[in-house]
Amino acid sequence: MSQDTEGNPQPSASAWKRLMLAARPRATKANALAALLAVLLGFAVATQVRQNQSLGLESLRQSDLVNILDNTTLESSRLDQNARDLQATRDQLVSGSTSGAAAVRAAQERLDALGILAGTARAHGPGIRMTIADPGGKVTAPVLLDAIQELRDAGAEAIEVNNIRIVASSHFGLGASGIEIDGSSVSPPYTLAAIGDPATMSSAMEIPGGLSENVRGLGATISIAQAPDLTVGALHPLSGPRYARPVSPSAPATP
Amino acid sequence: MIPALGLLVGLAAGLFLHPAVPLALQPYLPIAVIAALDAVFGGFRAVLDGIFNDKVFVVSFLSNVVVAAFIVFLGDQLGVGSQLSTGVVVVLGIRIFSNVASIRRHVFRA
Amino acid sequence: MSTEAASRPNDSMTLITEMMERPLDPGYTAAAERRRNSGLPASTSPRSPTLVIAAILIGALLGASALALRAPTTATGKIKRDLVARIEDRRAHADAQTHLIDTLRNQINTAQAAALTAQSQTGLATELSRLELEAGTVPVTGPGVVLTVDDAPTQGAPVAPDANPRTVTGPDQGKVIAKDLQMIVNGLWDAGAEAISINGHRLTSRAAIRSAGEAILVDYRPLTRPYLITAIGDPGSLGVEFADNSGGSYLQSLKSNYQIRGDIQNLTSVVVPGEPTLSLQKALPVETAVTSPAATGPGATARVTPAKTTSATATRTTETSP
Repeated sequence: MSQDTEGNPQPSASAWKRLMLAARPRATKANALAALLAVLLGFAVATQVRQNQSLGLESLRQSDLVNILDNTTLESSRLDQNARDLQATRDQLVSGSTSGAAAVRAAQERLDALGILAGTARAHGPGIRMTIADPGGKVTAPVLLDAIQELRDAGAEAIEVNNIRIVASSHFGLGASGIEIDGSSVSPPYTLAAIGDPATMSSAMEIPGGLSENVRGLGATISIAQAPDLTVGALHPLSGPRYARPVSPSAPATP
Repeated sequence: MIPALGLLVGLAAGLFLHPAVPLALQPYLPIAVIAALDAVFGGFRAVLDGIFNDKVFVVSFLSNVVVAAFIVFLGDQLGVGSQLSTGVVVVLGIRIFSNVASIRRHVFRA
Repeated sequence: MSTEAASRPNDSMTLITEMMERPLDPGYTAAAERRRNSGLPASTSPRSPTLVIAAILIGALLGASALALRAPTTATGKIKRDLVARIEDRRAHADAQTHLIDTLRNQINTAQAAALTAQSQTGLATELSRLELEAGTVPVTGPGVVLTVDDAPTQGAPVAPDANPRTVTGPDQGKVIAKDLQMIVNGLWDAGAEAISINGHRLTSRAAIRSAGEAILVDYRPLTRPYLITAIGDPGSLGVEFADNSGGSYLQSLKSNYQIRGDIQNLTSVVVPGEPTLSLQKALPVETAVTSPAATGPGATARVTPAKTTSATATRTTETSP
């Protein structure tokens, strides 16, 4: 014979039937309380499981985390500023308080900015000029690639190397007669000009393990000069993509 | 009532006066606390069962703490300190749960 | 216990049965028996001085141990948790702002397009969309490849995050670093890619790939493994040329020397998201585009210098773009 919780024998209804009977929903206070407790338990289990699957950030060292936090904070404030400007523009346009001419002006400004970013327009502003003299021919394409990455990371907005405009798709390789940028051969000394915050960019070049140390370690020389206003005059031809086309507006923009 | 007040007074004294626990005794402090809790809950249950005796309470408390600390100390000397400690904690924990269950039955009749 | 009773099967379990069936010290029942036998009430007075003193001592013991035993959460552990929480907070905020910026851009573009059409400046509108495509502010789709790069599979036990870095063995060679991604992406551009994104972050003229310790950041955003590099280009030649050029051979050497995983997959349609937050802070145009009222074609914009430029190198000429 089967027994209930107190050990008293019960008539032998099948265990499944009893389970079904117990599982039937009844609107009693105790049932509601039990349901609430079950919900809390489930919630606690889910939270604990999620907690356990660490973000991947916890496995980093503290100094890395501080670094990432700084970067994310900077980016956050940059985005805030961006959003504020755009909101002002949008409100003006939508409310119709801007005249047609003002809308055209705003469009032109955006066009100018995009032109600089795409490398099809000349730009001027504060920045730095770098000259890498390489008599021994030790500077390789990856060194220049690294230089560009470090400049971008320090906030460079427009860069040119030996009169070749650097854009997103710029690539560095080794050709028959030395380093090639976007397929065009360049020879030392390499002169770079970058528009951005001069202090940030020049200190980024000088950090331990950074570009300057790297270049000097190879036996080349590097000189950096800040300028309150310089011009990046090289242009990148507007190629126009052959395979990439804009996603239709109804599709979601970002994954 | 008065013993409860006494407990609170002692607790406050312990928290605010910051008595320095000698370093040699520090490893046995956790086990002593659990043993003390076991004696306290046993005392509560005895009160509710109507058979409380203060002398028994004090003796059980002292012997619990001393025996538990001694077992852990012995285990440390023999190299099985953590295992013995776990064993002591398990036993005391079960006793605490049983006493608390009985207290619960008295108080909440549930 | 009566010793005459037949031994029960669970006699050897006296410890456990004692523990579970008789948690209360038998001293209480024995003392209560004795007191009842001598006519006293079973329980002693709750006010007896012995009890009060004992209560005070117990309280002191509990209080003192509470303080002494408070487990010091390792200072580093706490700091790290704090940092991670703040990073997550900032990231969530940054993501929200990015979405907002994206929405605002779309709204501005629509409003602008309408205004420009009203002003018969459709040439300007076309220019805008062309440059948006070129600069990378809009998402694009097309045939291409997806390159999945990941660290070498680890054999050893994972290192505890709080472990003293000095006692941990040397740098893990099988880890993908920023330089690896830079070289691979360089190779893809060389092979003719038209748009590239890593883990959903579009590579623009301002996006940098760099390491912060062990994490890789793209455009200041940390990446999680595995790293998916999506590139749009000529389906027939992109993968092949990549395999042949310096980027492809770099990846190949990573795979054979460090067991880093890298797989390339050709797909007929991939999506590379845009970077709507792309903007300038310091750079200014040297010449600005001004469209003559009657112009509608893309090539007919006249370029003039802005009247109030402070640049020393500004030239005061008007040129027509080719």
